[in-house]
Amino acid sequence: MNSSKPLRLTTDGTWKQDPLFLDSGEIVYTVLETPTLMRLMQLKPMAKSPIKLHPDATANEFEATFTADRKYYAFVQSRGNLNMKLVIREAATGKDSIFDPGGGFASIRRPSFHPKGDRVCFAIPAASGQEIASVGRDGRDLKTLTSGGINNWPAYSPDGKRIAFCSSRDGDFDLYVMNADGTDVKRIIKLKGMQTRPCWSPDEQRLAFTWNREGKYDIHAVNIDGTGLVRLTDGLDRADYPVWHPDGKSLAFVGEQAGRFDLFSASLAK
Amino acid sequence: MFEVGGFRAALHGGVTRRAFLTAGALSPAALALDRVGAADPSVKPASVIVLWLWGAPSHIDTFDPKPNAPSEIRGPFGTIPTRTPGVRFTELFPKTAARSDQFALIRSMVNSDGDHLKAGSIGLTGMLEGKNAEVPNFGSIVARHRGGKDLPAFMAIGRGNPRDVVGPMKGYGGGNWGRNYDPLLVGCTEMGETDIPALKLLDGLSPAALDDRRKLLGDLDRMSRSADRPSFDKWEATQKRAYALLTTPEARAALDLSREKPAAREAYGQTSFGQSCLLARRLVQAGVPYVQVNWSQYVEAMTPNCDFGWDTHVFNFDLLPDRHGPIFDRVFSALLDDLKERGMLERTLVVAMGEFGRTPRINGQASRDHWPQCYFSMWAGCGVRGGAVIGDSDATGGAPLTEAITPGMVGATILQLAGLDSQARAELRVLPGMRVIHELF
Repeated sequence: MNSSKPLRLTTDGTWKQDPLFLDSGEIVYTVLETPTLMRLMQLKPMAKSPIKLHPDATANEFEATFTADRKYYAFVQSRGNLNMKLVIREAATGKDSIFDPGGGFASIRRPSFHPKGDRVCFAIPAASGQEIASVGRDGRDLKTLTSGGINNWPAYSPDGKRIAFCSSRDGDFDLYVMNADGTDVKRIIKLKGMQTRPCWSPDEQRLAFTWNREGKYDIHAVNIDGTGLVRLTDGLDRADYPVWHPDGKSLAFVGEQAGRFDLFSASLAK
Repeated sequence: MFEVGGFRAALHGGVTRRAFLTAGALSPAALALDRVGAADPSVKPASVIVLWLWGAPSHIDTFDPKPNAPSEIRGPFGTIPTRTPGVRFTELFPKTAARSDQFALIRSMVNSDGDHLKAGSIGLTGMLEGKNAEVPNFGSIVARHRGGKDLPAFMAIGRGNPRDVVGPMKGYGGGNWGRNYDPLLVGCTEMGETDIPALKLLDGLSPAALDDRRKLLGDLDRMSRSADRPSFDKWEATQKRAYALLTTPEARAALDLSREKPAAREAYGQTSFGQSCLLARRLVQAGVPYVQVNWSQYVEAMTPNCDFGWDTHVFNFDLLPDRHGPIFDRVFSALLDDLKERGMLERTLVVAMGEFGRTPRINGQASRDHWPQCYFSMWAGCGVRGGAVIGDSDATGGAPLTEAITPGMVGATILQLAGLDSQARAELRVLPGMRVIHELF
C-alpha cells in the first residue's frame, strides 16, 4: 500500500485536530478558532470553506464522533476549570445526554461512538491509570474495559465488535486491539517510539495510526495481525490524526508544514 | 482590520560541579561575566528573552525524564538521545534534542511555593516578597538600570499579564517601584498581528494619525486636557510610553512582523507563542533590553475562556503530545537558530522556565500536580556553555541531588549579564545575597 502526494484541503493554517469522515465524505474536525476557543467545524466535499457545526457554541468543543447513521453524535465539552464532560446529542432534536466524570479536575477524552449507536467508549482517568471505558447512549451504565497503564485513543471497529487503542501498559504507547467488551487484548506491533490515534480501515483489515519515529510524526498503516507495516506520509513536518475515508481509497489527516496546520488527503493505492 | 496600535502581518553529562566551577572561572565567558556591569566599556550588557512557561511544565515529561523509574513515575513517553552524550529528553522534543549543544539545562531548580500566583511571582522576582508585589520583576530592574530609548526597556508579549482563574499574579511588573516599571504589554496573534492593549482607550485616534507625529501629539494633548484628569493620570504612565513608541517609525517597525521574510515566519510556526517569540527577537534587535514572552495569560491547560497554559492536572499525557510539546519544540529551536544565524546569540540571553515542576507520581487523574521541589530551566546565549547540564535530580525527579538553584539565583544571573553587577544590585536593593549561577559558563 502506498499513498499519493497529499492534497491540502484547508488553507487557513490554524491549529487543527481530530478530523473524522462522515459517510457522505464530509469532514468534521476541531479548530482553535480563538486563543481561548476550540470549535467543531464541518467541511463538505468540494466546499471552499468550512462551516461551524455549532455556530452558537461558546464553550470549548472538540473530538466529535458520529454513529454510522448520523442520528447521534458525541463530543467533549469543556464546562469548568479543568473539567470536561461527554455530550451525547441526538442530531434531529438536539437533545443531549451528558456523561459527567465528576466535579473538580475531572475529564474524559477521545470518545468513539459504537457504529450502531449503542454505546460510546472513551479514555477516562482512574486509580489504576487511565482506562478505556464506555457508557450507553444515555450517558449511563459506565463500564471500564481496560486495567492498568495509560490507555487512550479508543476506536470502535466498523462492525462494532472490537476496539483499537494505544496503551503504555508495556512501556511507552503501543498499538492494541481488544474485543468491545474489553476481553482478548492483543498488542498489534512493537515499535520504538510513541504510537497514537489508531483508526480502522473500512474493511477492518488494517489500522492507520501516528508513529513518532525518531522524533518525526508520520501516518503509518499495519495489518491487524501486525504484518504489512507501511508509512503513508512523508515530506511534511508532521502528519497526525489519521482518518480513513469511508470508501477506503484515501486518508485524511492533519499536516503541519511550514509552521501551518491544515487538513490533507492522500489517496491510497494497493 | 487595522486597529490603532495594531499591525497586521501577511501572513548530564559527565562533568562534575567542581569542573564546571573551574572551567567557569577560567573561561573568557566567565571573565566577561565578571566585567559585565562593572563599568567595563568593552563588554556590552546582554539583552534578555525570558520564555515564561506559565502553568508549570512537568520536568519528567520534558527535559528530565526518568526512563528507569516505575511506570507510575516514568509516564508513557519514551526518551530520545540528544546532541549531549548521556543526556536524554522525552520523545516530544526532537528539535530541541538536536540542539542540546546550544543551551544549558538546569535540572535542580527549586521554588519555595506551590501556588501558581505566588510561585510565579517568586519565579520572576527571585524573592519571597515578590508574591506580595513588594519587589520588582527582573525585567523591571533591568528597565530601571538601563532605561529605554525609542522602545521601552521592559516589554512583555502575551494576551495579558499572567494570571489564573482566581486572580492576577503580582510579580509581573514594577512591584513597589510603581507602574512606571511595569512591562509594556504587546499582544501577538498566531497570524503575527500585534497590538498594544494600553492604547485601547484612544477612541477617535485614526491609524492615519500614526504616520503624522505632529497630529498624533496634538490629539494626545487635546485628550489630556479634555479627559477626566484623575483617569488620565491613572493610565498616563503606561500610555505615554505606548504613544512614544508609536510615534517613532523605528519602534513601530519592530512591531510589524509583516516585514519578516516568510521563511522566518514559518520557522516559528503559526501559533501565538511562535509569532510572539519572533516578535521578541525583533524587539531585542531593535534595542529592547528585556522581553518576557508569556506562553499564556492563564495557567489553566483546559478551562473555558483560558488560553491553554501548562497546568495539566488532567490529561497531561494528551495535552503534551497534542499541543504543548510540539509548539515549544518548534519555537524554542527556531528562536535559537534565528539568534545564532543573525549573530545575536552572543549578546542575547534566552531563558525558558516555568514557576515549578509537576509531581513525579502520576495523580488520580492520570496527570501530574504542582511540584516546586524540583524543576528545570533552559539557558542559551551570552557565553552559556551549550550542552551543559547543571545539577541533577534524584531517581524519581522528586528533589535535587545537588545544590538547589533558586529563582533568586536565576535573577542574579540574568541581571549580571544584563549589566547589573553585585554593586549595582546592592544599590537598587534587589536580590540581596543571591549568587550568580557560575556553573552555566
